[in-house]
Amino acid sequence: MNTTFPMLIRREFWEHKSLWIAPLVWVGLITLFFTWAVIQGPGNPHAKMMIDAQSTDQMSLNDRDREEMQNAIKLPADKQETFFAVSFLAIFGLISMFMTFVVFFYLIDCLYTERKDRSILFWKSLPVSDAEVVLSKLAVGIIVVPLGVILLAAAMQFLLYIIVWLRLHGSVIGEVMPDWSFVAWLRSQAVALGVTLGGVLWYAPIAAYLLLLSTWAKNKVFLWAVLPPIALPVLEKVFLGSSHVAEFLGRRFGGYIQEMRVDPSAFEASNRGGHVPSVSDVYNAFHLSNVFKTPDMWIGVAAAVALILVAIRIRRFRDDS
Amino acid sequence: MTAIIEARGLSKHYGSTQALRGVDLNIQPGRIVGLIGPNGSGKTTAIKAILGLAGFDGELKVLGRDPRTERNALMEEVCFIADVAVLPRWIKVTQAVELVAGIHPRFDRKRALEFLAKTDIKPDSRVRQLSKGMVTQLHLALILAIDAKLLVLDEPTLGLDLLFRRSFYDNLLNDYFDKERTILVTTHQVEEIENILTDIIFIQRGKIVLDAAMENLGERFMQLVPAAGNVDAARALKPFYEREVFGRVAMLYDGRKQAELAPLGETRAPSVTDLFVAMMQPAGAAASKEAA
Repeated sequence: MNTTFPMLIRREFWEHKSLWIAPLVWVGLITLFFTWAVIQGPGNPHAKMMIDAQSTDQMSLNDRDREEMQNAIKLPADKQETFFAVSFLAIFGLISMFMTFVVFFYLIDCLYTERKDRSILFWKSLPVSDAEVVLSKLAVGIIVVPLGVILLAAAMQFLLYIIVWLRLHGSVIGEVMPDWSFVAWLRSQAVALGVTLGGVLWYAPIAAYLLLLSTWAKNKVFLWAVLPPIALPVLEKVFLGSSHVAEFLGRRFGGYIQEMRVDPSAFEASNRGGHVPSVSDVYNAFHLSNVFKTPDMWIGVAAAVALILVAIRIRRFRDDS
Repeated sequence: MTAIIEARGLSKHYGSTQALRGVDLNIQPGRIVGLIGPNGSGKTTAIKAILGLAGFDGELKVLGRDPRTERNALMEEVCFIADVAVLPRWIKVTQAVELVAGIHPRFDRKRALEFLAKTDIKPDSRVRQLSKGMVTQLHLALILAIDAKLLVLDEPTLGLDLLFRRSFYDNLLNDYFDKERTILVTTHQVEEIENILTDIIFIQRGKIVLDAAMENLGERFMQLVPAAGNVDAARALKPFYEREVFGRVAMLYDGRKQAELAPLGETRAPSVTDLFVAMMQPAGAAASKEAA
């Protein structure tokens, strides 16, 4: 069996510990904060009393409270799932956004450090092709870490539910709290997977570009990565009066969200009338298939392939002497 | 037998600097070849070409393969330690062993661990915690456990103290070298390795100035310290180099029989270091001395 590629992937996590330490710390902080907030309860004494109430007698319910509670209890299964879907996707989003930064730093660093610490000739003394090396780093950034994020978010979703359940257990509110829904949980993983797949493909050219910088730049990779996208639009505006670069970059950075055409109204829950959107409204708010139908998506993927090929060539033939 | 390394007209230039000028090489299996030259002579450029790390002009086959296009297959059978090919500083000793085991099809993990057990290297250490000598030992442990046909060493002991240098070459000879294997080692410290070499190649300004088997050196080269009255007669036999030692002149000859020289004074076989110093003189120095 060929163990080379898995070994190359493992080696990345040995060297770049931030890839697994940073998300664990982040998740730890979220959990701590969340647990503290849940234990603390709402600041409003009335609301706090409501949450802590062991029986309805302890609640000084007014008519509106009573109605809302009734609504909550009567919430159909589909709308209970909305509760899960929204909170699950929020947790997934929190971890994803954080890891985007971690992966950004990883990608600009990974092919640069091996030149900086002069270990590149050691790596080149092993029977591994430059393509395998570059692809292993790309795979870490756009496959392994994103999958890890989904797994971590899935675990977090369960953990945070348990924390809330423990807090409310035995109280009146606890009884109307929706039961853990395995189906809702699985379904939101599927949505996360789809959003991740679309995002990875959409942003692949940026990842490839960062890898290219990492293998090309003599030094100051961070500046090379950050400065041109900031400076070029400004220079174009000042000297040419146009803004093609800004449009191009805006499209690449924001296009994914644009193309998904997220419908914000699907998330609007209103106190009046206890309206809760149905879970299908929430899921259908993401028009993910649109992203895959946009030519820009596939032009970007083609650009990513080209950039990776260039990065492989640079690593193969670079001769720093 | 097919050559391990065969080069014809190997050339390489960096901009206007000619690093290699038409180098021919033929290195046979089972040899320990010293590629010796001063800094900037083209040693490392030649090594880079052989390892497929840099492009070149001319013909070059290593183990019958073209290093430019078949580098990956080549590196399964070629190992490489260089002063500049340092192990990554973050890696742990155990990770390094595991890594090579996972990547190299010809790596014997047990051998590497056995070798490491004989050193002071702790398995949990990271490379950054090890001394330079220990890092080289670790690298050597990894390389010794690879069943390779060609081992290329580029200034492998640079910056190491004498004890580490000595044990490096001892280990290489005892634990690694056999008739199937070939070692190509570059250095500018000739005296250190002259006893282990089977062949020497002197390189200067991108050109090979000497390529000979050690066992032939004694026949080919002769050093003469002529008796006081015989200096002119000795010069007439055209030494290619002469220098003064304690007020007497020592001359080096290429291709003169001992019988020819012995009547003129004391003869002996020159050491590799003597030859190196003689041949690495700036071009024309020997000739100008002759004229003087």
